[in-house]
Amino acid sequence: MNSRDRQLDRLLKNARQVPAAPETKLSWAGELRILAAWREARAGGDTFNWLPLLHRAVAVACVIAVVSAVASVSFKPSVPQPDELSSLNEVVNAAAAWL
Amino acid sequence: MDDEGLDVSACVTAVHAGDESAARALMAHLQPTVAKIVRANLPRRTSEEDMMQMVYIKVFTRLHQFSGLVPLHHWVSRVAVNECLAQIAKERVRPEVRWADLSEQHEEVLTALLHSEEDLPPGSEMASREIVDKLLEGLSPKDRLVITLLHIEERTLQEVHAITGWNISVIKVRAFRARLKLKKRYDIIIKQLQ
Repeated sequence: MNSRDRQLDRLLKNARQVPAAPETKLSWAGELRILAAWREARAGGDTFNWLPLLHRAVAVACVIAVVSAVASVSFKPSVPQPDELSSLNEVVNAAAAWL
Repeated sequence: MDDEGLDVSACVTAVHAGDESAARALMAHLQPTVAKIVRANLPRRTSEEDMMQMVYIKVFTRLHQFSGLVPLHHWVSRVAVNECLAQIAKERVRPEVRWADLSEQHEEVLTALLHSEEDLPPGSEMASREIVDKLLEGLSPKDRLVITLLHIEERTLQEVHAITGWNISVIKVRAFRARLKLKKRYDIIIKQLQ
């Protein structure tokens, strides 16, 4: 232990000798504030707490989004698909010709 | 039933049921524990009474989380410690100790520490405590807490564990590092004195 450590120990030892100040009591107003906050929290606690449900819903939505993204990349067909609009156009043309 | 005549578990049950007189009784019962922790870990810009109110509000709103596996005083101590640490962290004030901030009495104590190996003169206790408080102000809330509990209040490692919930090896490591930081800050003011 070097001299700085010894000095610090002596300082801490001397600081410990300070008698404890009288305990602070809660004022009547303070006690009322605590009870009011507690009552308010109890009243709030009686209603349904949506927050945990919301957290779970967000987590599930994220999982679904990731799974969908992975699936769309993994199952991409190797054969190019015909353009959806041109298919639709063919259907409309066929219907017009038939009419 | 504890030694003060309050049946703690019955009181907690009554508080759960919304009994305000039980809540008042519980507050009176916990007062010495809460007051001591709040005083030892008081943030700079929050009054002792305000801090105690914050602790009690937290205790009552989280009382449903009290499992009864540990004594109520230990559980309340941990809530109080965490609430004080959170408030200190919010204030985020880590002032540097400057020689100009120290009074003549502080200077006398430091000079005595520096030039003598004898015990500090009687009547210098308050000045020593103020110097220690100034040194502690620069530490993180957790470091400040561990130094206060171990070196000022002279608690055992087991007691610190009961109050904070930290495991013993964490307490030892934190105490060692906090002590180094405290010494560094002490060095700074001593260098300014020399």
